[in-house]
Amino acid sequence: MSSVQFVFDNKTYHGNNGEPLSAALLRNHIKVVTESSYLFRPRGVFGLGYEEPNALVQIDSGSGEPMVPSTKIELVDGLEVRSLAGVGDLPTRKDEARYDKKYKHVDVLIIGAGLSGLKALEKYSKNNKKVMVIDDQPSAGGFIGDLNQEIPKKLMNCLKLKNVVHLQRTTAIGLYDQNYVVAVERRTDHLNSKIDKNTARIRTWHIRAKEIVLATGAMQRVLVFPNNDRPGILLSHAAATYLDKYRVGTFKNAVVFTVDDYGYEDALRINKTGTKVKAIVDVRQNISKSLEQKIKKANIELILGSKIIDTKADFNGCLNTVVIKTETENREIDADLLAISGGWTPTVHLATFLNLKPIWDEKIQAFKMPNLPKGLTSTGWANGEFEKVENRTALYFGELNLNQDEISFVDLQRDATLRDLKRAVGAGLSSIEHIKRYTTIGTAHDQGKTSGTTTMGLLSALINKKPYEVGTLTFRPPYVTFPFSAFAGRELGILTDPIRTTPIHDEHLKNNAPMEDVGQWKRPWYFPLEKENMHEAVLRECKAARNDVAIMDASTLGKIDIQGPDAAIFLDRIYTNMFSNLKIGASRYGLMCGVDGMVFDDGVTTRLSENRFLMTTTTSGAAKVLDWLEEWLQTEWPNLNVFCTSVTEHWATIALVGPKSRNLIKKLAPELDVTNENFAFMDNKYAKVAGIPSRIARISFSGELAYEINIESWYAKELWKEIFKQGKEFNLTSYGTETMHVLRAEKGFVIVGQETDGTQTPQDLGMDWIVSKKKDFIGKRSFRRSDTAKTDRHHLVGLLPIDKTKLLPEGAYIVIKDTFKNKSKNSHIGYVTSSYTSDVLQRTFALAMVANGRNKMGQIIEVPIGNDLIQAEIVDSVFYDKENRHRDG
Amino acid sequence: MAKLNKFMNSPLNGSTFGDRKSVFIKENPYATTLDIRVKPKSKSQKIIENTLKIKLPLTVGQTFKNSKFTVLVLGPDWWLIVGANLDHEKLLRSKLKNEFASIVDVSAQRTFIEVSGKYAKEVLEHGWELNLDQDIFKPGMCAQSVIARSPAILYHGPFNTYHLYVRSSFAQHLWNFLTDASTEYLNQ
Repeated sequence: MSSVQFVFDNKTYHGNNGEPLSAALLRNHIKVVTESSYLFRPRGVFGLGYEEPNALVQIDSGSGEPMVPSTKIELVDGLEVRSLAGVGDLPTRKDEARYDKKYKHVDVLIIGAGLSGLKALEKYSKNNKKVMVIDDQPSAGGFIGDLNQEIPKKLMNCLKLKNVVHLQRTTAIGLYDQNYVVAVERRTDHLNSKIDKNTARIRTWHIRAKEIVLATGAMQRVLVFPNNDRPGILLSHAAATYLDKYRVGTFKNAVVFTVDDYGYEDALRINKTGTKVKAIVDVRQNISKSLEQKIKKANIELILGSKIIDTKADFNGCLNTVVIKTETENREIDADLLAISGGWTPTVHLATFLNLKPIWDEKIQAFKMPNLPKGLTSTGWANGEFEKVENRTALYFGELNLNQDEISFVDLQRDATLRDLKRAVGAGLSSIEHIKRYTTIGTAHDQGKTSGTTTMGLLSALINKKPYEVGTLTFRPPYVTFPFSAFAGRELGILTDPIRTTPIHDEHLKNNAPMEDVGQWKRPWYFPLEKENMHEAVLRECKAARNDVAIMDASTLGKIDIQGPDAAIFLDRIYTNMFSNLKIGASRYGLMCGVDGMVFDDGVTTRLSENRFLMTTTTSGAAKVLDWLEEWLQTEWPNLNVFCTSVTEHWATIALVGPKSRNLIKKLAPELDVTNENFAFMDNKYAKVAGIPSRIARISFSGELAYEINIESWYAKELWKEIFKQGKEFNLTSYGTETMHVLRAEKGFVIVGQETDGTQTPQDLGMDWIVSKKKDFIGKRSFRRSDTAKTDRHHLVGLLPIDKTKLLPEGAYIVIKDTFKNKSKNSHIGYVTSSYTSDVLQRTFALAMVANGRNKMGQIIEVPIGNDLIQAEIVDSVFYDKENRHRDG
Repeated sequence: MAKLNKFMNSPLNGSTFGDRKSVFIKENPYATTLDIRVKPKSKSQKIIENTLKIKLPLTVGQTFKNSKFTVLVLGPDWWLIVGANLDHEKLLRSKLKNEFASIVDVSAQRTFIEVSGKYAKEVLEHGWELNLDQDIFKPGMCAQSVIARSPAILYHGPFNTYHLYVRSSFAQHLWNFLTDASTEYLNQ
């Protein structure tokens, strides 16, 4: 092993490349790693893996990461960390590292590559099954002592098989229904403390497996006694591993406190490393003769039927004395290491994520895996298959009767004590879930990995119930903490969400149009000339549309091709108005409602032939409407011969709007008869526009004479450019969504989603004219509901601010005049839905939903804005060209 | 309608990316595509099959291929014919007469992104949730799903060559995703 440098709390140390940081800290005699979060007691390394409750650090090198157990950090050159008590802080610099995700499908997923995981692998990797093995350690083998022995060697070789995918440093953080596992793989931190931008630092795996084997092993429990939190008190397995495997050599004299035979194994391991085990304190009265002999041979004092009742510390707060209560006396032993073996708890967390309850096993005195569903098995220690449980004491939790001034810790990370637990019980709590919330035991980053079972044991003693009656704490994914950036993966910046663009998008960018988000679409908002602000640009664009000719990209509208002999009947049922009487080649505006009679979507639908319609939907409603149509066709009316096909992106639409649009379209399509008699409002014609085959529709969303040119979308960009060339003489002006909104609002046209929020009927919007009285359609029945049929619901109205320059904010509340200042109740009567400055009206105006608004024409209302009250008159919602004189040019 | 190439632009301007050795991504635009919806095993299905001399397989995910066409089964009553020309739409309508079938030209609705090379599958697995293992998603199969939040059809051509049919408005986003997902595999 090569020696590397690392920095802890601004001081440089040396350690072995690849060893856990916790080992390197111990090696450098850094026993006090941090202070506890609430009581500020010195704390050191306690465990070996993700169960570590104490020795958390903040990583400052590389990407930086808060609250990482030092036991899970592999030492690399240049690692910089600092001690951390409680909450860490997010690095403020931008994380340049890469994070990604990957999907994987396998026959068998084995979680854990210890002895049992490897045995499962040997079994499952036969017959060429696709097997994936994930393990959270740097290398496979788990607790196997010597990997060079024959059996481990044979098992390890299975990892190299062609049908086996093997990932280390990969932790299953979630297990979900249908054998779906989410795992995080840490891929680069162990290689270098610098950031490699091209290799994902953490990869989130989404794994689906026909069978899952849980070989997650077990975790050692804490023992509860006064002052059981001092640096130098470690789980015995962890202590033995640091001294034996990593040769940290930190401790001189050890005492082992145990309730089972595993403590003896660890004591012997420790004793061999040069750390003298002075005594083994066992709560049991008897142990096996052979074990007794082994201990004697190692020259270790055996103190049976005894327990540790206190510890003492040196001036640094580190352990120096252990107080033992034997049957006859209290005695003290000098020791700088106390290794505790509180019994092992199978790691059942993943199974409990499926809402399965672990079952109590008397023999092993622990909760183990519940009855697992098909396709899910557990094996080894995870399944409670411990070898050394024959002569084990009952679940031991320590000394219950303590003096008031003694602190016995249950949950080290939360600083939660036995006294807290007793207080909770004293307050009348008996459910472990209530106790958890009262004491905060099990609510830290580690979710009580070392303290959970102990809490349950203590509680069962305190309230005199059997462990299985008390039950376990609920664990929730993720099993371990990891950075949010791993969740986000590549879904950052432009990849956060799809950016949908029209085929003319590049041209809009070239013309400096700021974009407006409409669902996932980017639409040009307005087209500012040099030095123009938005307000000026929009007024100019509006003027052009009302007086000359203006052009807009309307390609984002949803389009659905509807075919079949029953297509007309189908549309009659979908829309509130009639479509079966629409003549071929004509278009009609339609409104659709949900079953509740509330407006759902709208758009213009064209009858292309007897049995074929082209429906348009709102831009953001396209997918929703197609789903709606399919739902009715597939579940309610399968007898209708109709099919729907989305053609939103097949067709692009360019709208030419304004009194001069007829002259422009005539120039662009010389073969087209553009007279009003032969090409009337809502008619469709096929012609070549600038040489490109098009369907031209006389549809207007502005009240002006307008032509919508529909072409296959791959022609749209060139056509747009060509129209601009030819439109120069007409002063052709491009406009965006803002001008579109102003123009339609001047005409009182609603926008579904702007005027509506799913609680408006067509009648509320003043659109009773579009609701057929003759036929049946979706939502019709609901118009008879008393609330829907009320005549004083909120109605769409227009608002004209008395001060023509005041612009009402959209969304503002409307109150009855003279009621706001005296704070009268029920003064709120509505809200502003749209509000603009109009060029053609030479003033501001708004649309609003007002209670019984249609019967309040001419009334003055008030809109409170900050300390200001803006007065406005309720007027009709059509502000411009009520007689539709402009529609035909 | 005959295609007027000089006026045409594809969503990705025929872009290419990557290297032939590891992963290569390119747009194959302008394939003529007909969307067919017809009751399975109906007379209409027979007429369509006989007219174009193709098969409309009945199992979703299967495809039919001959020298002219690739037919993808997208649903129990839903097929996509790639490689038809638009006279075929007229021809089909004339042969179908009053038999019901929905035939829609959707050529410009989607563009085609080809992902090929040794790591093509690996790149796709960063966003495609369905199983792409060679023994499951064999060459010649297709599937519909979502990749990088974009609805797409995936067709497995020859070994290690995949075709993503993506809606034109999503094309640039999916392109950005795929080229980004290739980062670890380029020149490997």
